[in-house]
Amino acid sequence: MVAKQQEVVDRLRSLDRSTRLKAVREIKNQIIGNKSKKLSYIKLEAVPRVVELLQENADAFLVVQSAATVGSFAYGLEDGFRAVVASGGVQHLLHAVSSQDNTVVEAALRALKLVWQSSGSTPPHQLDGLNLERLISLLSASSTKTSEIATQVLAQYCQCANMEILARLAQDPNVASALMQLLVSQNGGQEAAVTALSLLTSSSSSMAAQCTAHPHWQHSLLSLLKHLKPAARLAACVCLRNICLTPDIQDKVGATTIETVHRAMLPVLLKLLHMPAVLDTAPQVLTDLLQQSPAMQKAAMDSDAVSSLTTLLHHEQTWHNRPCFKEGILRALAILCKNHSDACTNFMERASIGQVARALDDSDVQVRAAACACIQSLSGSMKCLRHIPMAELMPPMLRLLLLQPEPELQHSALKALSNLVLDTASAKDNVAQSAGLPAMVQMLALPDDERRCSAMWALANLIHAASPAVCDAVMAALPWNQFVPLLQDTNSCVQDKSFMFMRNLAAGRSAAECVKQWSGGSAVPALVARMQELPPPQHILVHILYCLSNFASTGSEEDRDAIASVAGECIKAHLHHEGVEVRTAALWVILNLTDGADDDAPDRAMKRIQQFQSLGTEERLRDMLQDMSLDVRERVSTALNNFGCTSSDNSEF
Amino acid sequence: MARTEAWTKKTVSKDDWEKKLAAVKIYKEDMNKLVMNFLVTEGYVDAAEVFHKESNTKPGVDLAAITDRMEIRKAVQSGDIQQAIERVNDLNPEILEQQHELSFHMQQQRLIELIRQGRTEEALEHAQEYLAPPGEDDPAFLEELERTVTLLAFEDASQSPLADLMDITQRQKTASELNAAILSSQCQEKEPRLPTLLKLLVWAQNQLDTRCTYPRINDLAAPTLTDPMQT
Repeated sequence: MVAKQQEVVDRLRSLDRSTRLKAVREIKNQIIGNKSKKLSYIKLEAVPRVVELLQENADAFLVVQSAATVGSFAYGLEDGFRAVVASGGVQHLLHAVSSQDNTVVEAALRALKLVWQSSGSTPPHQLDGLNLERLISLLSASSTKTSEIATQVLAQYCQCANMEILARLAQDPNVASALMQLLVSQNGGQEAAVTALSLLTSSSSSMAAQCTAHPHWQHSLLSLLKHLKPAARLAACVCLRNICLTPDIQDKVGATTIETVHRAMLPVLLKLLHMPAVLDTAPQVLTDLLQQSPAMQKAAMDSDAVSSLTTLLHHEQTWHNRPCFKEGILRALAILCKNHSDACTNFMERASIGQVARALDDSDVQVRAAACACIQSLSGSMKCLRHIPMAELMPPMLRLLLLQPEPELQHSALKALSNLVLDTASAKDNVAQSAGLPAMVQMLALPDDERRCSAMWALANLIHAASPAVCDAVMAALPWNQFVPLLQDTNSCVQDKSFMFMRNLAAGRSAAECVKQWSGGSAVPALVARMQELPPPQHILVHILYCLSNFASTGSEEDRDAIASVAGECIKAHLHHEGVEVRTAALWVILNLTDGADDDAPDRAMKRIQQFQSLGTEERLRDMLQDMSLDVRERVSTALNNFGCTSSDNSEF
Repeated sequence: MARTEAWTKKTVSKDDWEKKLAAVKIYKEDMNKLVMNFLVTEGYVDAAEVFHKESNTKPGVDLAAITDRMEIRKAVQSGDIQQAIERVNDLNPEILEQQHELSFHMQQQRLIELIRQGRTEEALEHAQEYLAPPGEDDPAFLEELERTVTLLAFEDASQSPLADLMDITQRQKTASELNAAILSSQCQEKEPRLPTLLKLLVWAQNQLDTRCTYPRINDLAAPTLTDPMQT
């Protein structure tokens, strides 16, 4: 067998043209579809000899056969691909593309396509100006077969080109124009054109904008949503997504057009999710669509998208070794669950939380991030939060917080944990007893405002309605002198969450005493000082007033006297505040300071009442009987009762 | 008392049926496209050319490509597999390059033809060079290879338990597989639309049979309406 093959290879160098031709055809017909034959001939060094024949420009038929043979050698076999590249096969094929003979052009194009299909992520040869120009001109060739193959070559080149090359291609107006024209062809050029467009529009928003300059862009792309091949349908969805993401597109084409496009894409994408093997990126395109349009989220809900997505999540074989696919599914679920409580309920009913918990430990960082986003969305629903199995979820969540080198993912984990600890005692205990608590405290010192804010928010949620043990753990981990600068943080969100933390801390039983010990008695003066500065934002003022109210409620008589003495005037002033929440909060402070339910010290309560009366508080309260807020009017009545009688029972806030 | 079918089923007379049919608008252009689609997909080149001239309906494909496809099909049907392989590689080398199953079946058919011609040594060599390597990679291919090579064990393979491989239908199967691959590479549908429409008609009638009595079409080739009033 080897001797026969050697004889054929030797004939490639025959002086007789028909002998050479016969030899190359024999090799071609033997190797097409046959790896072992390719390997045999490669070992006999047939590739360089065939590549030499590519240079016989005068002999079109010989060049055609040689091109097909070179393409076949490169296809599906790394050794063959390397041999073709090493022999200069690609350059000669590119040269042949410029031939005047159409059959040579087509053969060279097919061969290039096979070469680039085998090249993995890097094209073996960057198309320089002239070659690129030639390829682009062939997109509009008069022969439909030539333009079809040229488009397929371009699509293949785009698939292994880097972003820089794609961006350069995208700048050429002839490319967009030729590809858009090919979308309406009825041949293989259509699929290749939409594939190339999907890659080019993904790399360049100007390319996407150029597509809309074509008069029938909408009709052409929408009709491709019904193409026979799923890959073409997905490519059309990608193009439409990219067009809809172009800046100012709504001004250019109108909101109605965008909505029409979105509505056409959604059912196609939902069906494409279930296509085997093809379409790793389908979930990501769906996610982008849902992110762009709340209306599409609603439509997806109506189409039972959550059931479809969770079904896919349960079938490991659909996403095994396809991290991009799994990531997309999780992100799509995260968006739907974030904005729709029905989605959360549906998700929990389908017992999918275990899959998401396992995804938190996935080897792919993007899958972990997507799973975390999913948990964040689910935990944002109070109804859902009660049914989340914390024992299953907390360990991987804490691992993400503590062990993730990626700051973004760590931040995402923090935000999810912040939701989880809000209302669940077991989650609070997990964090307080683990390295999660010190990690959160450490994050308060980060230079990034957003992450500092998220850390403070998480601690504020942790301390909300927490057990004394958790409160003690938090206060031990976050000393007062480390906390107090946060009340003056340059970032308003950090400030807000810091005061929220204080307020939640103050709401616990015996909070006044605990906080006094924690702060060395500085907490109330710090709060009052902040209140007395040039008016703090309303939400911060509300936090401060409720802190004082809670301290008044849980503290001793000395604590109440101190608050009344230091803050009485300020509190009375806030009864005039335009914000109803501020007026209500100020009233609660007064109620808790003037409540005489503690029979041990009715005199002290009376003294505080007199203090308020001397400030004109009673007159103001009477005016407030006409306040537009019912809540305010009710509190005012109680307060006036206190002023007239000290036996009213005011509960802790 | 049980109700009989005749009591619940509606009956539609032939006159009424024909009136309903007459009200349905079918465009001539659509019918012409269906006819052209059939001629082109089935490979009737000359008929397609004449129909194109007479009805001005575009073939939608290169008629020269149909001729190539028909020549290739004929080559397989006549057992000249080598010729078919060479022609299909000239037409589009990607077809056999990228479709491993088809490529294997073509080589398998070549083996069958060599066995049919009694060229035993060549058959064994062919099996070793072209079928054994893919058989090593794929158990399904290996099974088919073993089945085919077993033909050599019989003096008269056409009388053996594996006679189906030697039958003309095996060539037909390979020819159809190749034809479908060529059509797909040319972005054409693998089957004409007319059979699908006829299948839809038969299915719709079967569904309608359970609900009413109406003028059926019993013979698709001579589609006259039966009269439901006549027994």
